[in-house]
Amino acid sequence: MSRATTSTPTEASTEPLLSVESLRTQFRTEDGIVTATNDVSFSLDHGEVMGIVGESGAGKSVTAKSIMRLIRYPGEIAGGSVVFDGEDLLSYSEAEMRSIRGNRITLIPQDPMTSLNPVLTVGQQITETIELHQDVDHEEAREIAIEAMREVEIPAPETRIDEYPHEFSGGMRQRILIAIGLACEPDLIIADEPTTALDVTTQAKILELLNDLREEHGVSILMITHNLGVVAQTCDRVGVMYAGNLVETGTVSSIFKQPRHPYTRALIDAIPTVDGERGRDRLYALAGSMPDLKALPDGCNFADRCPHAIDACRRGEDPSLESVAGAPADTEAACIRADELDLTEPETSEGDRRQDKAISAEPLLAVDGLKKHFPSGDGLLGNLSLTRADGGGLSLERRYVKAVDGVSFTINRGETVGLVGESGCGKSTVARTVLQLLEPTDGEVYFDGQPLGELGSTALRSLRREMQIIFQDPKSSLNPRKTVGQLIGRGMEKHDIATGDEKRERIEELLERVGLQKSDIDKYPHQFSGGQQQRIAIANALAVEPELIVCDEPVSALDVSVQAQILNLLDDIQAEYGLSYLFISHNISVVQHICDRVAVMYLGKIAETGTVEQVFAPPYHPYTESLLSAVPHADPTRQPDRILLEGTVPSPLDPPSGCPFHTRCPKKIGDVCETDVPLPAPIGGDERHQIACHLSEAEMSTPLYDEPAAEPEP
Amino acid sequence: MSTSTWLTTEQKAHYGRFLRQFRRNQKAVIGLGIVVSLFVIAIVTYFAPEIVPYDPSATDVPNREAAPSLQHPMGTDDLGRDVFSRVVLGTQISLYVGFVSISAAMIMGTTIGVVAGYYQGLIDESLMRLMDAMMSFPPILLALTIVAVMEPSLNNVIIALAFVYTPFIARVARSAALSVRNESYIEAAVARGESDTYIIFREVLPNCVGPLLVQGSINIAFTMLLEASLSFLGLGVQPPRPSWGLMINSGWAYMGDAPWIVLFPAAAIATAVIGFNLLGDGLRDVLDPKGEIIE
Repeated sequence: MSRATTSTPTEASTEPLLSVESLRTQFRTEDGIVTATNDVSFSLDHGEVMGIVGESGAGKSVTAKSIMRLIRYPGEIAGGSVVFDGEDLLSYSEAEMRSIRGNRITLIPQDPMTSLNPVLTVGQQITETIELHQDVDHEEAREIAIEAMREVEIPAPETRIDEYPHEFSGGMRQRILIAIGLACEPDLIIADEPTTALDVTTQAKILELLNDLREEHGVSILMITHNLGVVAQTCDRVGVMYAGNLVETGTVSSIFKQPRHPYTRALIDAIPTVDGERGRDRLYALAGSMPDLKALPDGCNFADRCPHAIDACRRGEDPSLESVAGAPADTEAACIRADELDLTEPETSEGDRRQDKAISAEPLLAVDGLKKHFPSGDGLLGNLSLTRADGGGLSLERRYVKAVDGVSFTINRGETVGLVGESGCGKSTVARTVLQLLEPTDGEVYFDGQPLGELGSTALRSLRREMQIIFQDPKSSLNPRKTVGQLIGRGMEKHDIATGDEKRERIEELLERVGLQKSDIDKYPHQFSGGQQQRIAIANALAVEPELIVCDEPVSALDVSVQAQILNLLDDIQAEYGLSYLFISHNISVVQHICDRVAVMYLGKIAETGTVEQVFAPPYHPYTESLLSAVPHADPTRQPDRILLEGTVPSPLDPPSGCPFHTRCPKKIGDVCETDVPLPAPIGGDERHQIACHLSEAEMSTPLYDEPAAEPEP
Repeated sequence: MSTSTWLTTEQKAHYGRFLRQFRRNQKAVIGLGIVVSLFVIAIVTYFAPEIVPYDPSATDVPNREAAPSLQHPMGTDDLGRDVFSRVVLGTQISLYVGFVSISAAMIMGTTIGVVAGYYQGLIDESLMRLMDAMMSFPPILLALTIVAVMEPSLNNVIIALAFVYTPFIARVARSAALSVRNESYIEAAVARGESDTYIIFREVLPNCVGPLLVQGSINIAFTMLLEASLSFLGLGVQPPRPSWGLMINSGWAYMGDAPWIVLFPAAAIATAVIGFNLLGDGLRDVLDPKGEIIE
């Protein structure tokens, strides 16, 4: 709703607020000069929200830091100008810069967990900024701070101002950081991935808040993000960066409708869509990765990956931003073929439909009533605590974090089952317990009919060959001291699959299968990019010819174009090797893209389970419904009818009685939700689709468009 | 950071990078220079003891407490022995004691630390509390007790020093193992069905080498100091073998008249300690484990 009203600047002014010209920032490294931003030019009007998108390493954050002159040795701003409100910031002295930073230009950092000082109260941290930049005494500064906290919708700011950061949740801390940014009424807020570290429901609330604030204060926002959905939901204009350069700028609506640069098209196409017909198709994935910034190719930096590149693209200089014939006036693209290309339609790749999979009805893995409780606190007596019983007597009680509390599901051969939920809901614990990396507190896991809990350690070790895991962070999942060949070969040796030359041959085959070179076998993991490392991890998992691969957020740490490559790869090898996947992710669109069946988890329990089509269509569990609505869509025309959940996920140490979701449920019907635990019940007589909710099917099918509500925190 | 095409052999690049950073680090280069010189001296004098101008045990009473001169560059001691020859030969003993005791301490400490860090819980608690108990004694006192119980001799000094420095190494090994333990590749190894022994020694240990190397080279300096102290107290190397600590011990009574008897062995100890410390410091700068892994 904020989009329509504020696309006209609130203050009439001919001068843009910020104008960056030919900005060039370099880092001197041992291997040569890395040009992190090269000739970046854009301008930002008063009251405008501009997004800078691009993959990691594109130079987004360096641009933001260069504007605030926060580049440190060995980096330096080598050229260009940054004109802010008529003054060139690059000519300012360090002292003058300090009076601008935090006062007229503020930065909202990415990670709210580490950006606040844990030993100071939040009040001290907000007033610090105010007292530094404004001529007010301590009392007045406190007043302003409370006002700022109220502005960012922190409940009871008068009392919470004296609390320490650890007493706030992640979303609340991000609000405090925004409050610090707002306290001096800046003209420009630079938000560097402000929601990347947050859960999707929290992200929705923070984006809503930023939209409201810009409406009220007319502040300009430069939004740095890799998420096109965030851009579509919040920005007026967008700049797409690639390899240190802006390749396209324009209004959000025109860029999403008709991108003028092939890279923009590719970025949009690489996102799995939550709904729509092409949701289950193969993703369009750009081959390769961003060129090395130390040795950029001749001509267009993107030419090597561009599906439309011609010979002329590979000669001369990198093209600069120019207006495009037939496009709106403020659309500019850095492509020599921008005038002739029509990029309205999504790119399609060969093998358009996904391969049909053979899913048998026979369960490979069955999880029955799985529970995993961790003792809270550490030490021998750590989880003992005194509690007062109802009668009034004191008693000792052991306290447990109920990370997984009664989860049952099955995976059939050749099937992909997704586990989706926000952080802390127990997804990863399920994965580790299924693989017996953690011992279950209760319940049993059957693999191919054998109860894993009853197997001896020797039998379990040999069965491990059948179950592999791919982790979220590929860098951490590969031992940095071993070559690729040693890493992949170890599993083959361990399980007597191949040795010697045969082993080497197989490794080379596997490497080629996952899209790497044979010659990569003697390299170390650090010589590969994140996406390539994830390919090695996949090859590593395949090496022992498993039947089940547990994928624990396998694409969350990757850029969107690389994510598409990896998802396609996982898809291809599934059919080829007859694999089953347990796919864990917080990203709903990815789950929807790759999975056959889905289980939605909340607070250690499964709220809803069914096929993808069933779960992501009404009737919903209210939690599924709010998760789905919170996903930012890469489509600016879509009305943001998000359901903003109240409060935060309760602590699994002390889960709510009755339905675990009742504290935040927008459709709560009354006492029954607080007293009775809802049991999973089949929907529409279909045993495969089960929802654990007290609502009737009709009620679960009624859509709920909630007002953006203030959030009282428990 | 994609695959660099200018690499021919990957390992060459890996170590080439390390060497370049090492060379650029002044501390490391100076430290290495000192350490290498000491080694050269020790090895040369071991195989060719006649290279020093005088027999280190030959007394020359008429010529005792002679000031440094061209004939005796560091003077002579209370029995007329040439201080220079004795200092040079003392290098052997210092390095021998330092290296053998630290190697033993590294083997024990690393095993204890890595096992504690890997298993955590009760094993960790009991092993590390034992280490803490050992560390709560001043090193000199603990070493003195051990040597006194056994009987003063060079090998017993080495055993004592190895025990004294084990907890220091164990602590470093444990903290390194703790951080490595949380990496996903350890979990992946468990999921692959590896045994604990394999995981500890083949997955965890190689990733703890950096900090251990640093700790080891710094602790070598301390063991050399402690050996000197023990010898000074008469519980270490027995006369007439030329140990630096022993030379200070026998010379300190003559400090007023003949300061060179004490001064030169003391300078030798200082040089060796500084050398190993610089090397350790420099190694730490270069081997920053994160910097090495992330390119």
